Amino acid sequence: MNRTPSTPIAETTPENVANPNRRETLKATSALLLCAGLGIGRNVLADDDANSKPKVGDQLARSDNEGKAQPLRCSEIQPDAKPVAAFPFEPASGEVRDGSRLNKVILVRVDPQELTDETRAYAAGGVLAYSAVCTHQGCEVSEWVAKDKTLMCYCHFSKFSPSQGGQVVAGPAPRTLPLLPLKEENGVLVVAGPFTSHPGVAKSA
Amino acid sequence: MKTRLKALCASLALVPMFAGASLAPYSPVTDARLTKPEAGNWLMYRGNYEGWGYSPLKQITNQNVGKLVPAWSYTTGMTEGHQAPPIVNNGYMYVSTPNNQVIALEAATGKELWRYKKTIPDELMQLHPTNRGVALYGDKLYLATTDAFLVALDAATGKELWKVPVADWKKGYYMTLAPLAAKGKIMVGSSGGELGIRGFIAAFDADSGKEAWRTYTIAGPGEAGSETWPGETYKTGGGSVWITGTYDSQTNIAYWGVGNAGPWMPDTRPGDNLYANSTIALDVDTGKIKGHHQYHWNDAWDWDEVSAPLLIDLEHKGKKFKSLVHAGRNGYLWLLERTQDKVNYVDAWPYVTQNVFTSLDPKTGRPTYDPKRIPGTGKKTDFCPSLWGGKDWPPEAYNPQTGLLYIPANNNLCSELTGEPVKYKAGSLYIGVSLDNILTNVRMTEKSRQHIGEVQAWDLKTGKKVWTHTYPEMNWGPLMTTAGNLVFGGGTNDRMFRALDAKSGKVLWETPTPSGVTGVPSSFEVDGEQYVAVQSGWGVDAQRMQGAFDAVLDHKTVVPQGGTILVYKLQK
Repeated sequence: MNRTPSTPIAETTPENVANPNRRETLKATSALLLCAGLGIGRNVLADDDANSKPKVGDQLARSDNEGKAQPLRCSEIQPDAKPVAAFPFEPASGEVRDGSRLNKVILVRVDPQELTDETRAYAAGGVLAYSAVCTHQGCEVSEWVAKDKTLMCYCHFSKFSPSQGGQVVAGPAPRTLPLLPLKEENGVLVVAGPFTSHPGVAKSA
Repeated sequence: MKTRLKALCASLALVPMFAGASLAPYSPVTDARLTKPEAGNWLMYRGNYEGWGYSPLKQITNQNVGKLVPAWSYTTGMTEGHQAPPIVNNGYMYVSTPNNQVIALEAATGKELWRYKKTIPDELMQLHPTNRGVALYGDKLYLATTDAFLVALDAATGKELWKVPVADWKKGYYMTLAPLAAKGKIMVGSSGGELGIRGFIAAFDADSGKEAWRTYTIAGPGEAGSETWPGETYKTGGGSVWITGTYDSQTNIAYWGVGNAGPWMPDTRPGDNLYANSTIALDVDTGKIKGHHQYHWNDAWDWDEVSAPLLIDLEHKGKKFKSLVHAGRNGYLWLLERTQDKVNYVDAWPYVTQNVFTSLDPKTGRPTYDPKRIPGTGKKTDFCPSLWGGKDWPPEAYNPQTGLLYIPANNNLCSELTGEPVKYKAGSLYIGVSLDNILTNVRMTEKSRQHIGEVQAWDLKTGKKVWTHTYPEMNWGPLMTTAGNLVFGGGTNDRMFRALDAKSGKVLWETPTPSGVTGVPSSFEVDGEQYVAVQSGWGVDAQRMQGAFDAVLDHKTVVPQGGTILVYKLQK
């Protein structure tokens, strides 16, 4: 079930480089790239639609969807409910971008009155798409805590405020949960821009 | 004058060389040294192959431990669970931290020699950002990582020599345990019991990293025990291995503990589910299973039995035998007999409140369950001990001087779980209990409001408890005992690290640390001076239990995070 090579792996990808000199160079390069907002991993992965980052015009499909991708409609996202997990997909080809879990988002509806001005700019009606990957240790932000209207990661209890642009309100997460800007077209949720910041764990030095 | 100046310059130029020369060249770690470790070193996870957590050093004793003071400390720069013991080989100290890092230090001074960081994939989900220690063998050091690689470093320089993928992290496999090194092999297992893995123990050639064998802890088609898994359930049956095995060098058999069966609800996989929740005996040359004992069948309570049994030559109620001793997560203390080709049940009894087992078969030790206490899909059930068990992973310790076994226990605590249907998706949680339920599973009783955490001392000869030290809330503190008649451990949410009198359980010394202590303590000697070392750094399951306590108790407790290596010695 779990096929793994039985010998040390060759120098195929930056993750696997054994030569320390080249590794140092790569480390330096990757640090520069990360500063520029690009990870090496994503450059390597960017070859096909499933792995590429969300694109403007993408629609969203439920992550547990089976078969043909069905575009999520604004009206399907209920207030005060467990967030809906989704992946962006290319509407023409139907290709779902689920090759990287960093593309996964959670959809929530917040009363537009409660949104900060900055947050409102990223919402379609009251619907917001946040990265599903916690900025602490990369676990899934999957829970809705009704009591304080926050999104929570079960791994280490980090909480984020969806009305305040994903700000950390409790727990060990070091930074805001990235937002994927949305717009509404004929009732359908559509990606309006790239993530507001790098989804996933910020690498410690 | 000119000559004297020259001489001075020359000697000054030599100063850094002399400063660096205080450390002798690295001494290779042989099978002979691992089998009979020197008193002054701590060469592996529990100090010896038998898993005792015992240091024969006795400069620090129950008489003078009050004079213990910091020798040095070192900030790791990491948050989350710092659980690894400082491992020491003739003046070289190695400490692993969360995020797959290893720090090498001069053991007497804390001077950093080198630091290794394994690159972590951006997409990795670290359910347990921790590491429980490195293994030393030959001139190499071995690290098992959360992206499921086994890495070999040059122990003297920290240079990466090779790394091999052990399993696929994208399918939920991850590693946090200290590898076991013996007879030219480096053995590891994988975590992922909540992610639908099929557990295994695998051995790699210590020199080349080539895989020598892989033995699944979940029996598949054609293997003995496969009849205990209906259909294809074995493929996602759990049986994780995340604590280092113990090893009998005379028989060349390693003893490993196996985690819970998955998903949690037992009705999803009717049968005994071998070898989940068992101890298995593996031939180190071949990986062949030489014997096993399943502590409880068809697990329903998330009671991982991953702690490897301690190897002790015992006399219990008049019978002399080579034993395996295990304080089960299921709340029973187990005594088994190990032979060349079998594991036999001897005796077991509850060491914490347990309301699930109604009886044990006197011959086999197989428990009978109270049907009211068996969780199931669509059913709400409460049971004791809690899903974290009477003892989770923090290891017991055995002291051959006192003849006592010390258990870091959580008593009086119960859980309530409601099972729900669950579907497998590679790399996603596969539990069958809602996260909200897990986060609030704890049920306090009248007794648990009095106290929960305990350090227990048991006389295995008589099966009698000699003393109990209690804490108001949890105990997540691995224990170490020494020939100085002491037991060391932390584990409480007040950040304390303590020394207890090994014979009476009296607290003789305690000190607050920067975070909480869930690290495995160790002891070593350099230049005739004894040191005690431990990591402070609260996180993962201790923090999760704290979260569950916060959800049901009136008060909340903040335990700050951040790792520190702490080293103590006697004040002069």
